[in-house]
Amino acid sequence: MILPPPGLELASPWMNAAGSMGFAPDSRLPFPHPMGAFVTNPISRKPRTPAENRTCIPYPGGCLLHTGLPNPGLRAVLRQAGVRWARADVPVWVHLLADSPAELAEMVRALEGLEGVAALEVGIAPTANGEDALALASAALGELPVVVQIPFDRADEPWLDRLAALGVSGLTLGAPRGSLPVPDGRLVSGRLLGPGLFPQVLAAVRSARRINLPLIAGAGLFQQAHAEAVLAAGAAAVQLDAVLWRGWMEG
Amino acid sequence: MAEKIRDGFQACLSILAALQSSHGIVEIIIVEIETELVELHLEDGQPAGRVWVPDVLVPSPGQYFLASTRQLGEVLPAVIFPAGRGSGWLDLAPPLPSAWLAGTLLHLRGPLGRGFRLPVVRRVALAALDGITARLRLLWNQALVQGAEVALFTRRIPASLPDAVEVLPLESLPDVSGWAEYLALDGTLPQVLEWKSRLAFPGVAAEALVNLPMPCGGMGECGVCSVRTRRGWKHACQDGPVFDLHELEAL
Repeated sequence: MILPPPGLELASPWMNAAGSMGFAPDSRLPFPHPMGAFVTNPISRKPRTPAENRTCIPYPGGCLLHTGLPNPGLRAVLRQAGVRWARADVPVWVHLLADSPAELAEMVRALEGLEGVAALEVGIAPTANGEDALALASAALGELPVVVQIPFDRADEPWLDRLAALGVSGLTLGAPRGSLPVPDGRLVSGRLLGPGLFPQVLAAVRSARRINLPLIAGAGLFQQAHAEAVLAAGAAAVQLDAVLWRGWMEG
Repeated sequence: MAEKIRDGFQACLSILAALQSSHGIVEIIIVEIETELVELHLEDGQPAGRVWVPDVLVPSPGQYFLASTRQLGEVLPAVIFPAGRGSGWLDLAPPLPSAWLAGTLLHLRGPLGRGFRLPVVRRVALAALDGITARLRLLWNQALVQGAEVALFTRRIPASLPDAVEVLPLESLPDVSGWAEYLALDGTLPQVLEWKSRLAFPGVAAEALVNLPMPCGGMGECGVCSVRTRRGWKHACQDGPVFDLHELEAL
């Protein structure tokens, strides 16, 4: 296992995934282990409204969640959650969504120096190619450690091998995307959540060990034994998503 | 039912949120329990049931619970509405997940969200737009206790109904204008919006229970249950699922 670099150390390898617990930590919400860090919902520079065709579609072994990642924009989030980040008893990782390196750099500058913010997690759009993703990662580098988040089904892509040299501190293998038909015949695309993803995320962790960065497994973990298995396979931490809304499954 | 302090997800009873009244009395508002589905029956043609619950758990009409099992299968928790409440038990409105059997152990979190706010009025009209009347049962019981006349508009006559509740065909709902002092609709968001456009009820207090997927129960602010209102986007899981009908805007 590659250990997190200075500034990114975790007291516990158990975290939440972006989109699973809101914009600020709430100690009243259940979490199955001591929390190593809290990851915010995805935040964009400008407000994002919900997707028109937002939906949640179950399928055997999982569900497809399509929301459009609505959020009130960075300025409003800072106003609403900034104080709670500063008072949080866990390090806060702010998950950022950006369309361009310039936009991301502007958001990063606004977050540097904020009390409670321990790291930035930069979400890479599913359609971004490797060069675009590397440009985004570079734009995020500054005073705070940067963790890049990709869908785990991209773990084999060669551009990931350049992240460590760039100065990125870690890689999160997050939820992949998929599509399902809806009754009117159209296809809806969205994030896939569920235990059916576990064999693939485990394989992705094993594949991504080559890149010499601390790895965070952030999808498909619905049984405690599965989370422990990805830690044993080399992940430095795990991020739990929809399992937090329902509790562990028993095998 | 055994009660003990929650340890991770192995909770039997845990109080997630409480309010302290001005008299110093603590009112418990959200609990998390492990309980058993002790009865399963058909209601409105779909599975409904009963669970044991502690007496501290007092849902308002229109509030909901998230319920899940430990078994592999359902990935997301089910959104369950109360249909009746007695000492030590809670009736669950249909439809319950088809995989649940009598004896199934459930992890229950709630009551969640904002329920109906029935004013003190003399004439109450309720409409089950999707044919499920059980979600309105706590509301008509409350109206009867307040001494109100109650008219229930539905396409399906419920199996058990107090004599004091008059059942009318849903198609006659527009005739309620001028009679009802309070109107409550219950259905999917498209159904609610369609009926809103067909009804004229100026000056009448009117609310709608909007039946949407609410997988995170407010924990994740995931946005899949976003509802457009005159005051901007709201989350049905937190700000609803009951909304002022006058506030709801088209999709």
